[in-house]
Amino acid sequence: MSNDKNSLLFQMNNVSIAYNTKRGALKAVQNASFSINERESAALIGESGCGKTTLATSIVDALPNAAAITSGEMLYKAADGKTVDLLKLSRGQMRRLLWDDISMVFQASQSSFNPVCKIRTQFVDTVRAHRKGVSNKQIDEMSRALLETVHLDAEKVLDSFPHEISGGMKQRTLIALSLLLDPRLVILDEPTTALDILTQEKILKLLRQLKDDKGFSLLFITHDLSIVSELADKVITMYAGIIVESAPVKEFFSNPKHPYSSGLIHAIPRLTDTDDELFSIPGNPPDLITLRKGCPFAPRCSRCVPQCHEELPPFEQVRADHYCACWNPVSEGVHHG
Amino acid sequence: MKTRETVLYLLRKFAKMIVTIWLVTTIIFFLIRLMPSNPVDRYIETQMVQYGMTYEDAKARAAHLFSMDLEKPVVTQYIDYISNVARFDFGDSLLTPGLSVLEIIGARLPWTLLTVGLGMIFAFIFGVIIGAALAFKRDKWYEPIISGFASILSAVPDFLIAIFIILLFGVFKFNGKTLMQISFLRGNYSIRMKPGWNMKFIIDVAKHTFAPSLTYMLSQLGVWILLMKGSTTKCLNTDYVTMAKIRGLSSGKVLRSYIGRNAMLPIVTELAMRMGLIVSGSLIIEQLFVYQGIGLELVKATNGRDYPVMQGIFLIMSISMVVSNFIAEMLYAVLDPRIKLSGGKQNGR
Repeated sequence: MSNDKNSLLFQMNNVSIAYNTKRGALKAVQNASFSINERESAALIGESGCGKTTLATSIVDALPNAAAITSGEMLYKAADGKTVDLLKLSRGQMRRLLWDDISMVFQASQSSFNPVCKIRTQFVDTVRAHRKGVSNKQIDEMSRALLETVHLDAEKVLDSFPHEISGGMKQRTLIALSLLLDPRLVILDEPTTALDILTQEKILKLLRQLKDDKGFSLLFITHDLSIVSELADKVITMYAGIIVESAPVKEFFSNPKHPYSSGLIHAIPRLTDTDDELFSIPGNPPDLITLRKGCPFAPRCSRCVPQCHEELPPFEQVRADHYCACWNPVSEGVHHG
Repeated sequence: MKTRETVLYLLRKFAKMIVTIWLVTTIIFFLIRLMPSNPVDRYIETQMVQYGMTYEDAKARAAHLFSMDLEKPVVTQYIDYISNVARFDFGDSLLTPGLSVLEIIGARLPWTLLTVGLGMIFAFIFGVIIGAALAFKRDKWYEPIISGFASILSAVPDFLIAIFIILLFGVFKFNGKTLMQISFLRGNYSIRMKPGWNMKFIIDVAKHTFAPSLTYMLSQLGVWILLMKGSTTKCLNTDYVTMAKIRGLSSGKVLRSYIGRNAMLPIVTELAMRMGLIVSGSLIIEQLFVYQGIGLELVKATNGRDYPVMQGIFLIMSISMVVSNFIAEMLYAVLDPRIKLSGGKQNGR
């Protein structure tokens, strides 16, 4: 098991993505590098608009027309042991890889199903696109088994149209659909937003269990640090299109290096807190079109040094598996604020 | 259970349709009697002045032609009228005595259905193909040109297009010859032709149908292109299409089942609705091409104050509109599962 965990599955190197806008190029992601091991679960966190979703959708080649990957490589170790660069694959090769190897559940799960087709048809379509010679009965059995794992009444869901099932059911149906072809990497964009707290808890539990049972790797996007602590092995923090820190989950919470990560952790309200006021990070994220030189977080940072305004800090290893991009990282034991 | 619900729904819709047609019939009945110059009185007057008939004779003749007994109280007249209409008896024509309104409509309507129907079908097919293609090529340089052309086409009135077609095919000379003989640009078929199911006649009819059909097609094409382009563009950006691509579905499958089906929903309904406009859409075009269809007949009847014919054609127009609305509603329920056939009742989620 521990052996498995160390084998690299997906690695992103220096990926930059820009949106073509009327005001100029919007640098949504800059020089992003991170990796996911087999059976590892990575959380991608950050404020709204920091490029999390753009980064995740770029992996499955689903960026909007206006966006383009300007540089970098995405190395994926296929099941046969060969490493391929997803960005260099032909359209057909990529199509075969999608869902079979890498699947993704959108934030907008409520509208991810074709409104005029039954759920069953959409399961069948998915299998048919990748496997030849599978009978409808077999597909039915596969779908049913998965839907039952996510605690749904399989027969009812399969025979329903998307508008006939509730939001929580749709979300779980999508998770079942994402696992239909036994993918090796599952990407979830805010899997639990828009769900009530009980359903949310149910889905998290389910994901943890499914991950252990099926042995896939997970990359999920969230705003919610409590979900991170429950589900992630590794935390990747993004700020203004830049990955500022990547750390094992324990170290992320106990010993964050980047002042932004540290600020995020301190912004979690605690039941034991006696202070009246919540901590928050002052200021707003910068405009991604007119980025100034230096570290984008510098104007909001309490640990800012002159160098921060001059030069972008490199993304460097600070400990084993712990990377950070900061000129003046938070030192151990010293608390922010 | 489900079939029973569907049948009940269909019956309810059908009943509604019948009620609408009855209402229209009633309105037409009273409108004719409310017109400033009452057509019946006017007819009687004309007969008396022009042919020196006595009032009684003229009135009897009018009663016969309008298939109504003017002595009877209005309510009785109304009941007679409705029962006649229910039997498709619209009375006789005033201008061509001896010919019933139904016979006139029966002789003219097929021609209109042929030209306008053909034009509509081709406008629909080309419009949908071009519109869908444009939605995919939104980044290309020619997209705004074609879209602009479609906008212009949908804005130009059909009679201008008709005049342009007549000029292009029948007047302008290319290498000393016009593209078509001018005689093919007027009438339903050549004067010497004997109607019949033979090749010669069919080809002759086809040649005569070409220009009015083309005019009608061009006048409709722009709207279809713009509608389909908008509808497809909307579908291209939906989450379920992105999702289908991420699921690794082949592009053909995504195009057919995910984009095509959803983009066609509003278009097919629009087509069914426009079917109702076939009869009334032919008015000006038929006049310009002297095409003996229902539109030209209506113009003639209006000019000659042939009230029974007008009444009958108006009824046919209204009925075709109501029926095509009914068809549109049915189609929508069949194509879009979100529209329930059970009517107002919402089944729980």
